[in-house]
Amino acid sequence: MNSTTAKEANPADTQSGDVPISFSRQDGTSGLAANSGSTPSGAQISLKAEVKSLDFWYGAFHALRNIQLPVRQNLITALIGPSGCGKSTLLRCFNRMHDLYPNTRYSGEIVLHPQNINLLANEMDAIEVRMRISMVFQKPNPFPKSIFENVAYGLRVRGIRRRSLIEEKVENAIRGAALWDELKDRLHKPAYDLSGGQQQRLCIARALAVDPEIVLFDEPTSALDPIATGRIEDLMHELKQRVTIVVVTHNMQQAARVSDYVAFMYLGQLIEMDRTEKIFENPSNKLTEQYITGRFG
Amino acid sequence: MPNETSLNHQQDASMETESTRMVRGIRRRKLIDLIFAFTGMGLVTLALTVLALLLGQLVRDGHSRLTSGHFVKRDGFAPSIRELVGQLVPNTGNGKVGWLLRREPFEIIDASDVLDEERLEQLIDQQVDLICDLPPTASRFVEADSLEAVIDSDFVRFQRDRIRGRLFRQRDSWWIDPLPLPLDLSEVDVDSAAQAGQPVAISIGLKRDFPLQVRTLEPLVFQNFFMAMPSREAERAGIKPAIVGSVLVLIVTMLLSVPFGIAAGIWLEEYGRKNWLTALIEINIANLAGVPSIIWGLMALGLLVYYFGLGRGILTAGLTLALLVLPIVIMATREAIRAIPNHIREASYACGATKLQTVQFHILPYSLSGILTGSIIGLSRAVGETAPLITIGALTYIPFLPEFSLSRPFAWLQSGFTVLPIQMFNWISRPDHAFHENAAAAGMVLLVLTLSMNAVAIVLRCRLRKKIKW
Repeated sequence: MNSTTAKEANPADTQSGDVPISFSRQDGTSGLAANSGSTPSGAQISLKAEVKSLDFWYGAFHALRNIQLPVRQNLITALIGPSGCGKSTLLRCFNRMHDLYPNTRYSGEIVLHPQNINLLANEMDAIEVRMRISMVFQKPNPFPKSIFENVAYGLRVRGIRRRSLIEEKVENAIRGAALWDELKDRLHKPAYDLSGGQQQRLCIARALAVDPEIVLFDEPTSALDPIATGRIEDLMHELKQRVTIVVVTHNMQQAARVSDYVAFMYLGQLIEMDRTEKIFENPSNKLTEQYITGRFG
Repeated sequence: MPNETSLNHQQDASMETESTRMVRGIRRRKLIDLIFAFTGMGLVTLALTVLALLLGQLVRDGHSRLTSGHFVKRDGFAPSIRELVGQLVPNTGNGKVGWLLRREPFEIIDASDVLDEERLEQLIDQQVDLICDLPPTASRFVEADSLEAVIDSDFVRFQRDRIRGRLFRQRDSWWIDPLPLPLDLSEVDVDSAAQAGQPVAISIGLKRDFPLQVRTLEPLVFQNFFMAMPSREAERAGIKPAIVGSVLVLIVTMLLSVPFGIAAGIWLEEYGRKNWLTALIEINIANLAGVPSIIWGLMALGLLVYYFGLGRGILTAGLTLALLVLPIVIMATREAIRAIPNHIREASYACGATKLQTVQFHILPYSLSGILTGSIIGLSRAVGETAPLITIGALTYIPFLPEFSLSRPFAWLQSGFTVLPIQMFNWISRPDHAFHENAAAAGMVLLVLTLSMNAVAIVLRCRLRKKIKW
């Protein structure tokens, strides 16, 4: 999949046939200071979360190596890279999904701002982390319940009983996911009767209902058709006003379209992290350039 | 050129043989296919025929007992041998007596060899007096001491040991249709008008005069196979205690095995870490499901009856069968839970749910159909179990029901019991063929019970499954 940005890449650089496997790892925190002057919105950008020296193991397999990644508030950070590079693994570190499976181990920190708490700390409850950070999965995975119950679930597990409050929050979340007009008359119909794109937006509504600080999107459109994909992307743009978004995507056009910052990962390492235009127009790392021009991946 | 053409010819020929060989090959393979299909169809037909024959035999032997019944007194006991049984009817013809007892025809058994066939032929459809040693009772057979044509119409000589009635023949046996017996109800303290037309049992006074003096009169109720206690007489024997026992044991089994089995299955699937210990447990549970039931019986006898002293009652039986069913429930639970795709779990956890909330809102509701199906099939297996219950000492003859009272609400758990398969086993082991009919009838009941349980399982599965799809 050769992106449109490939044309803009420097042809002289793409001449070289062999891929140099020497990584110049970018330090995320220092990179932030350098880039903060020219953010897309132009406003002052604060950090929402910060990955610091994160290492991750599946048993003996060292899946993530020394990741440094800033996540900016109310912006979309995209993680790109070839299959198996660890971008989903990194994403699932944010809400500690790895805790559900045995033989996984973290080292390093993910600091959530402004509270300045380490999400990966032992004393930090994974459930609290997941209450702060919602997730939308690759495949639309609504529960086999009604549309209303799907969205209300996050509120119910928090012990919220007041019906009026739940109804209000559910409505807000469904509106937030741009589904209200389609679904307002059939809130108590099964969620599985919806189309794939609607299901995925319902999953976004479910993630929004609990007022999260960050929403993680794990390849949210890979199971959807182009129209549904476009809607989800528009939705992500709107959601930026409310939440911080980290999105994993295989699709480089999508990363170029929706994200403000892009992090390129390869073999468990973060190769380059910069503003989206910078990555796609003038990547500083050769490997990044080869990936976005379709030389490998 | 000729060379070339011959080469072409050769090529054509070889291609032809190639294609014919292919066609032949296909034909051969299709033939084998056809043979296999027909063999399979034949075997299935054979199996169905055998099944139909077996069921047919069961129904043929047992159906009459399911519909037949007999009269018993209100206390559940049959009228004694000294009592007369019949329908109480008001006398409209003769003004002297108010009431008559109309009895069913009696079959005459010529025990003393007093009946002469040729004489009987002449007496067909005539009024005869049958003299018997004992008063003709609730039984429909009478032993004849002598039989004579009615000489006089003197009702004074009408005695209780004598049946006056019309002689008739049905198939190879002789029957007597008795005249209504005049009754003197002056001595009994009964609202006879309310009993009019009702079946009653009458015990008679000492006087042998006309009309027959009545000491007590008791209304009778009809009791069918399902409501009757076991009896020495096959016609009177029923399966009431066996059904009650089966149901009670089943309830205890269900209450013990299903919650614990589901909890164990959920723990193993959702909570237990996957290591060598859980792998060992898993293998052992699968093995336990295959342990012969009599082994469970032996274990229950040693542990529950002798060591813990729980007695040989319904509680012990329920515990034993619960042990038998538990592995089945656990395995069904695990299978059902494994069928739930992992993304549902992840979605729930990503919303901030705890493990218990995930189980409560998702795992359990979505796996319930599979769990219930497996549990019911396990329980229907338990209903048919005989060996472990005989081992722990279930009774084979109990003419009583477990005690139910509010003051001792759990007394029934200690009560002796029998269950349907044990009752069947008891009946089959008797030489009298009539009991075999009872066994067949009880077998039909047991079959209907287990099949309906399985049907419930299927319906539940369909109902619950319809709402859930991934």
